[in-house]
Amino acid sequence: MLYDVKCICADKHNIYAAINDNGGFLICSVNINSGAADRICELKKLDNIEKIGVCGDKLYWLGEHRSEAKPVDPFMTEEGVSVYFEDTGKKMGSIDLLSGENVFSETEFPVTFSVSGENIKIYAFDSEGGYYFADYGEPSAKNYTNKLGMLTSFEFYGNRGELAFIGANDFQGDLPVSKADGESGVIRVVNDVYPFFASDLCASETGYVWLKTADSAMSSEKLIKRYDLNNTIVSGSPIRIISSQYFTEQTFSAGSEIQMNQLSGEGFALTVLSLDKSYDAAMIGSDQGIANDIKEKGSFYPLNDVPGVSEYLDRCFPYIKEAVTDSEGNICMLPIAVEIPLVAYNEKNCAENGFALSKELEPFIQAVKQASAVSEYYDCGSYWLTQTQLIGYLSENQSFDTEKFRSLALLLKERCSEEIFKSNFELYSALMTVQSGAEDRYYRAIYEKTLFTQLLYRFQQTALINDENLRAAPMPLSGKGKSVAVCTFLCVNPYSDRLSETLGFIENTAESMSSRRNSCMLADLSTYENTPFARDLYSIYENGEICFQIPSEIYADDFERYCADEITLDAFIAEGDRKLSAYLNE
Amino acid sequence: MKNKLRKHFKWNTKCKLCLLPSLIGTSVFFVVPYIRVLYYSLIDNQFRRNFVWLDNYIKTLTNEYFLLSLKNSLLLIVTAVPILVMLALIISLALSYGIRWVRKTRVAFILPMVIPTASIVLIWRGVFADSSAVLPIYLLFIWKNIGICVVLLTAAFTSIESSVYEAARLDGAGSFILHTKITISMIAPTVFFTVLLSIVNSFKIFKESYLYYGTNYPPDHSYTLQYYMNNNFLKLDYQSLAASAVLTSILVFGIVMAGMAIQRRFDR
Amino acid sequence: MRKVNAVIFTVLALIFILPVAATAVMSFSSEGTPSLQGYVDLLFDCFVFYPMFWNSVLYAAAITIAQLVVIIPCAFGFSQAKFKGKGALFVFYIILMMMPLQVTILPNYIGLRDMGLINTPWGIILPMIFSPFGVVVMRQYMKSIDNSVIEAARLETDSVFRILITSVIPQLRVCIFAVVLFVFADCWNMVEQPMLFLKDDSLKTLSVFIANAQDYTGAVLFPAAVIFLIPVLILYFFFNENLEKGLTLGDLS
Repeated sequence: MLYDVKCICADKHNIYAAINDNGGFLICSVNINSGAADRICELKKLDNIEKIGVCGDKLYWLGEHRSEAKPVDPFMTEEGVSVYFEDTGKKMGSIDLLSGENVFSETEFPVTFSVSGENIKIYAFDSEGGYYFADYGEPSAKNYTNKLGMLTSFEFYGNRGELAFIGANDFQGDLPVSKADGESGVIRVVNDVYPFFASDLCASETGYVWLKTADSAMSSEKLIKRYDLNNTIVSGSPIRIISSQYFTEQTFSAGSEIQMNQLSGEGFALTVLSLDKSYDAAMIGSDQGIANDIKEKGSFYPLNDVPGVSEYLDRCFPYIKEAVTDSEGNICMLPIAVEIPLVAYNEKNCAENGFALSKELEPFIQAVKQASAVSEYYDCGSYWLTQTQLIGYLSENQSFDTEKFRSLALLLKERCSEEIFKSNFELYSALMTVQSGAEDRYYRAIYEKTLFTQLLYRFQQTALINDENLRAAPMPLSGKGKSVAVCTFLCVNPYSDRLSETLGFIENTAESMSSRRNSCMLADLSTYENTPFARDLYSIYENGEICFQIPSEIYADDFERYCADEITLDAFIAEGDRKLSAYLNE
Repeated sequence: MKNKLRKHFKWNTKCKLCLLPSLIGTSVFFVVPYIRVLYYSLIDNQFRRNFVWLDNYIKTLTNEYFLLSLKNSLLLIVTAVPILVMLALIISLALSYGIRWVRKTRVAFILPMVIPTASIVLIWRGVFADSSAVLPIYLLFIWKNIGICVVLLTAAFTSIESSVYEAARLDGAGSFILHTKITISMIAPTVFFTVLLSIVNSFKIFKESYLYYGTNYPPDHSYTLQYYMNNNFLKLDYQSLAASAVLTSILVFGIVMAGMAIQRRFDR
Repeated sequence: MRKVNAVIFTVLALIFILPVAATAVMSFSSEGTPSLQGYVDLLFDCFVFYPMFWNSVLYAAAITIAQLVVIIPCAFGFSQAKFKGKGALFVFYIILMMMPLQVTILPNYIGLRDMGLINTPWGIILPMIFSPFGVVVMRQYMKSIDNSVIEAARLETDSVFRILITSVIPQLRVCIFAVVLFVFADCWNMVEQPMLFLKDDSLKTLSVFIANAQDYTGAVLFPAAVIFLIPVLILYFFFNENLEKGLTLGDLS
């Protein structure tokens, strides 16, 4: 007899299963030793059972009855932020294994639960306090916490009350851990994991966690991986990081809790210059004007002697190491991410249409023009093209008044033609959908016809790393023949009152970064996938340079106005040079 | 005799004690920061703290942008402040001696003082259509500060005691000329003070100018001292900032001393 | 002649009031048509507006009142006490008054942080109470009092306090009101200190709200600006009676 098993759990003697049964579910047990099967309980009118767990002589289940979904008022935090919850009609209950009797739980909006030793911990929501943890038997003793958000499932591992969970989009690609006390923050411990369903997570008391995951977000090949999470949470206070702009790249927390604080430009300068003790590190991007100033002024703690840092930098591409080392050989910044915008193209389609993308600016523009005449299945926005060229130019020159710039500007002005340089968002969705193995005829058709698309972010680039039809090409190179890269750094505050903890965090981060796969920073080719796309990616990142950029307010708006024909090239050069000179010589 | 001396001494001490609360507070919240700024101007770097003495000053004085900003700030002072004070004088005269109707318009001059920067800049940009001449800023400065000057001057006009005029008339003399002479000499200190205050306020127009141009790098003619200082602050170069601040305060000291010398001569 | 003067004057006043009127007009319009939408957005949807408004009032009032207590005796001392270096001390006050904000922000921040006053109202109030501006203005006015009155008062009592209350302050009533107006307006307008020294939004002031007006939904900038004007206007009209009286050239005891 074949049954449609939705989920299973087990205790010492039996395996329990929830089986689909004509609009409801059947809970059965199979004795491990004798193989004898037994019906335990019928749960009618349930649309779905997400999870079952057994503890003592009761079996607990979490299911959905979608037609009973109710509207829920959001919870308003003290700062005025709303926490929303959408009820999908979830219900919980416990079944007595001896009598087969089912008792529904009193919890109104359960989200998920976990069996931990003798306790059943539930995670639920109410409008008075938001999300909370409670024990199944004591639904009124609630530990509210709004740091975790919507979870799909959680499991306790080890014996210190730590839990790992599969969470909302914020934690995409990471395995986060926390505690159920309502106060602990989130620590991301493992990265590059993509569990999806509640049953994809499993844990044991000995500190191991099993995940059904994949190698990348969209890979259809699933693996089961085991992680040893013993001693992962670094006890102690969170690491406080300040920044003056928003960073999408969350730093890999390597076992510590991170508190990011975004300040204004003046606030950031004030905090750094006043030698404030209350922050531990600053996160800076090489595209921020102050990055260069920071590098020269020796304002931050030199990391040369922190174990693992030099080794990590030696394993990175040389230009990365060069960028973070100042003129006296001090390493004051730890690079944690590098990003180069590039173009992913379908080799076959491009060849069929008779054009090739080039690394030189003019041929590249010609190629895009050609593409625009032939098909609409390409994506190439003009903004990054201009940016990388201007930044590359400025990294070598101190003035706009050169022949080189004039010809560059004339070329770039062409890119304002909106018929040629446009975005097509469907292409990326198509690529991702096909990667995930989902059957979608519409996107499949688009995928087949795609010529090329721009990929600006590293997570997009590594997501497509296993696609057999795609190759990667860099955006037109700078004057020095390299791709302009934006690097994100961490700098340690020497006056922090938690300096040794912070240095420990840096050590952990350097260690975990050293062994990351497809990092786009490490020079060891064997850490990358063995596909043509991955190899292209590697060579693009190998040929990068980190330019510490001048604040865009000096040239960006005026250049836009030049391209829109509001001012002449000479006027732009005069204005630009004026501001540039002020910036460099103040 | 001794008694008188002792009484005088006691009185003097009491008066000196009156200064104490202000002195203590100002020392803590203003003098100490000033000394800090002095200290920062003598070191090379906020973090390494090596003394380089006058290096920062030399670097600042030879920096073309510092000199440009100094020139622009002085230009503002020399041009806009006299216009402001003269306009305020005319207005206060009218308000003090004019008819009731005129006096009722006084509130119109007070309002610019309190209007918030963000909203007025929007209106100013609308009126001057984003012009990048320096005139809008000068006009904004005069407009904003007319209120404080008018109030100061009218208060001065009206606190001239009538008895002074009485005494002068008893001495006999042409009424109008005497009246004018007396008035001028009585309000001279306040006029001097108004000029001083306007110079102080000319530094504060930075906020408006910054929002008007919307950038850290305005046209050259509007690049004042505060832009120089603010940009260096954002670049984490506090040393240039400190050196230029001390230099500015020395300049101000010179202006004040000169003004006081003029006033003393005027008194005679 | 007088009529011509009056007309010229009215025109001048109108020119000055024009931008203010424009602000008021903009606050009542929404996308070209007259409407109260801006006010509705501000008063009903912006919850942070009310605490910020009261903070502004509180800080400005506290600072103004405390300043009066500090600067009146101080100015009196400057005018009456005789000691060496008095002139130099006063000039020093003037120099302190002149320091631009960009310069003093950092040392002030460090000083306040060491005293633990960052993110507290006292961090804003205390430094402003001792601002040299008030001392300098008041000292100027003190010069205009008649010494003979002081001498006469000294015959009767030795207490500085009594003399201040009975003789000096009544004479300077007009001037004191003027100083109150300035100091209040100065505190009311301050933006950088609340923005950088206060971290919690609930402690910040209305001036910060307006500076960040684009962060809030709806066209709240102009309505907020209009409301911003009101307290100072109230203060002005309250004093206007007294300032008016002072206009009749003399009101002495």
